Amino acid sequence: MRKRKGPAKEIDPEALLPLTPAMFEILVALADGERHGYAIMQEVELRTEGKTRIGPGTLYRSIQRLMEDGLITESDERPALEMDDERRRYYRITDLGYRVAVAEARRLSELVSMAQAKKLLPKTRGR
Amino acid sequence: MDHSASEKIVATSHRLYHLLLVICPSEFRRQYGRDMGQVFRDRCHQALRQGGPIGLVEWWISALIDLARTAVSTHIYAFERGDLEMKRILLITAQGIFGGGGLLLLFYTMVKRPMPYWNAGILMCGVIASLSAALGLHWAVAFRANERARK
Repeated sequence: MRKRKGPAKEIDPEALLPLTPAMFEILVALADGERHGYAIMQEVELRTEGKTRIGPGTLYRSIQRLMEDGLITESDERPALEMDDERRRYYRITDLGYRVAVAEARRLSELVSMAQAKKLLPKTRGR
Repeated sequence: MDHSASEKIVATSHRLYHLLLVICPSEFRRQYGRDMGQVFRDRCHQALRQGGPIGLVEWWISALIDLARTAVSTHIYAFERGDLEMKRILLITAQGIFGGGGLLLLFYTMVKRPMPYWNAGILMCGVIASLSAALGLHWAVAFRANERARK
């Protein structure tokens, strides 16, 4: 298990890498606003055109770890009354979570660049 | 499929899934069990709407695989964090050994009969089954007490 030392501001995001695919997907889903569990699941499925499906177990196991690492937090603010579902718990990304997501995206991008350099992937146009 | 029938199927599925959550560590279940059940139920509605009964069966299969994986990884995680008491681990292990041993012995006694006389095998089976049952009972009592203390 990854151990954190000191307050969130002092943590090096690189120390929390690599993230599992499910953890990264959850952070990406929360990057543009808070969501509840089912909405995260739907967002991931929609964004990946059904290629990635996160089950309830994987979802909450990942949420548990992200909460413990301080990358996401349970949100106190509720969405508009007509959109709110009282039964559900909403989650939002923290500053540290955002920095970790950026670091992970950069790491993955470097991996893709490496694969392109080795001609395993075609080079993306406009880069 | 009419609305009330599909509601019944989803409600039954939800109850069954909730029962199956018992394979996850109690702490994890306490924290996220209700939410997992809710997500499972919402997804059941979606699967029924989009794929009918076959869609629901497909969702059930993937949810069961996901639950089994989650149970294993959350138990390992809880063990790493030291959430599980050593006593409980020892009891579960002993129960597994006695239970497995008992079943093996039963098989040999009933099918192969390697004991000098038949009653000896039955006696051994009885002893092992009693030990296993006692351990199981002890574990269940400890588990209930633990759950009550948490509440």
